[in-house]
Amino acid sequence: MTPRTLPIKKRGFSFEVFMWAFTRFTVFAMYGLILAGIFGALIVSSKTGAGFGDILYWAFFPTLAENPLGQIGMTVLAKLMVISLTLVACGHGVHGVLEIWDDYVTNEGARRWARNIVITYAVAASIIAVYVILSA
Amino acid sequence: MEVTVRIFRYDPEKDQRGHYENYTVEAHETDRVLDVLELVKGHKDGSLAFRRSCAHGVCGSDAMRINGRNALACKTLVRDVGTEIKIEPLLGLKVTKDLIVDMEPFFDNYKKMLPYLINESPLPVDGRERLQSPEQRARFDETTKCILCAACTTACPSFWASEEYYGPAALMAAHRFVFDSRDEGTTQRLEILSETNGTVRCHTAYNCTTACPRGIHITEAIGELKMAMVTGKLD
Repeated sequence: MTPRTLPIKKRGFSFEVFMWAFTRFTVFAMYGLILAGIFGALIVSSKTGAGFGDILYWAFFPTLAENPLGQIGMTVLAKLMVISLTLVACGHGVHGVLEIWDDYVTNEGARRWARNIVITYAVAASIIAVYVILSA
Repeated sequence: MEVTVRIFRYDPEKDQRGHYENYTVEAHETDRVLDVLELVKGHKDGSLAFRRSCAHGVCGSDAMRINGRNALACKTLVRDVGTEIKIEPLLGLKVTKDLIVDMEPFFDNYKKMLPYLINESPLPVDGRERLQSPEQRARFDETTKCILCAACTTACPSFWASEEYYGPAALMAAHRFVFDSRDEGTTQRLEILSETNGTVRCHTAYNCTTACPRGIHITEAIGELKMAMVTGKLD
């Protein structure tokens, strides 16, 4: 009995299916990045003797002069981590909004407009977020 | 024992909107809710309208909301729902009269799944059967149990939001043929399922699985369809 596997062109792989898979992937990616962030913070805290409050402060205000962990700063790796988390969270979030919209609005034109607006917003918000993170 | 039934009533020729009426009947705890409805119709109010046919959980005609849950009246015993029973029509479909709903949108969605075997290949040499191993048959055994009662579809929040969504029962029909090794219409069906009103509208609320009177693991089967679209694996 040979296993039956359809080639990608015959799977009905549409935008909807891609976004469904993407949304699931982004959840796992977010969990992975969050876990990596937590472990990173724990390692930093053990090296510097910083407390939980210091770690939180470092996470949210990494460039402020009064930051007790200011000497560590926001490394390139940390920036990449935050950018990744922002992008997957943004992709996941806006697609969630689109899902809810599509549940209730069945008009083709309204769905197309919503999709365009949401994708434009996602791209714009991602660009702004990346700019803010890189310039931090 | 004395059973009080609160039944949703709506007559489009008389009523602007639906209302509830209470009836008290004598029933045994081993009676079915369908028996109670028959008692009401036979002895209290002959104008009560509800669907029923085989009365043995096979035809799927008497699906309704019993104490807030979708179920078949012929498979629900009085002892399981108590002496105060609230009976309403299925949600998400237009009420035609009393407990009868318009099933057209439900069956329209079902038909979109091409619910029949598609195989244009020449017959085997002996000209008889297209053989299938027990394992291949077992792959879609679960979804062959569907009786199209609509209990699952009308329990689905996505279907309540829009009847354009094909709904769990239609997806079960698709599953039954997509995973059938003899069928050659898989690509057509997967294209239909990948539309905006297809599998992506399922948000795994699990209401369908809970509502199914046949015990089909519907949400799991829908998940298998989703995975088939992503991975292409049909075994």
